[in-house]
Amino acid sequence: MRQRRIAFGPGAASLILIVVILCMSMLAMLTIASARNDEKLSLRSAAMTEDIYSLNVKAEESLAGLDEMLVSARQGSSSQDSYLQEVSTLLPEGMNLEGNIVTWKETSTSRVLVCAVRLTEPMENARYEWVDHHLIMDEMGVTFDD
Amino acid sequence: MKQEKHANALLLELLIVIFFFMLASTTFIRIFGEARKENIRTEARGVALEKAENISDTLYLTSEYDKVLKEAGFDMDGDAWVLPVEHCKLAACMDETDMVSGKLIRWDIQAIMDDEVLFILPGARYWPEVEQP
Repeated sequence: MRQRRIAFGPGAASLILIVVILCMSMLAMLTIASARNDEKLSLRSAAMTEDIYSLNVKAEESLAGLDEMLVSARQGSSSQDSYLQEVSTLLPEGMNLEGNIVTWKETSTSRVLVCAVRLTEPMENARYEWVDHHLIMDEMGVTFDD
Repeated sequence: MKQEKHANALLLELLIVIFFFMLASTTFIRIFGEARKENIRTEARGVALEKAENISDTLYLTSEYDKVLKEAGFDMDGDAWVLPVEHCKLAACMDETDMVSGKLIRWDIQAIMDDEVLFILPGARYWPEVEQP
């Protein structure tokens, strides 16, 4: 039986090189695109988390300011009415008093943190208690309650 | 004579192919290396973010932050508390402000990888001083 010779003619190596380079280029493009997309997603996730935690920090700072004011308002008031009257005059900017509930909003570029505390009576130990603390995401119209 | 010429042409072609393959390889290796670096950074950011969120949420629940950070594995390094995590480190800086009505504890948890800050997660908790009747 005659054995068939495999011939490696001119141009075969170049052809293989072209195919290999094309395959490698495709793989490299897919790899880098996938890595970039993953990084973008990870950056967005980190930015969103930072944003939400920053809103919470702002809310705590506003609460600290409000509580400091409540301490001074309590000193000059004996009844609930005079206390609330004093609070309404001393209330920090951006806060609203409705009945005995103080509400305010902390905003960032696309999120709003809605906060509300109920003021307790002047005779009680605690000066306030949280009644509302929820996040509204503008871009999706989604609301998260804490 | 003809066969010898043919062999020489093949050898020359192979040499040229190897040369171009090496040129292309350097570019591909660089691209794959860059992608690998980005993947490591992304993974490190994800792991560190999850860890930082957990720590921040735990810090929110207690005023004894030293205890919480020690239990989480942090060590004091200068002014910051440092914890090595996958491919990067977390550095927590605490700040306590005494007020008339209570105290405000603020913190920043930074994820640092090769001197690059991956993110800064801020946190705060206000602890009111309860009035005695």
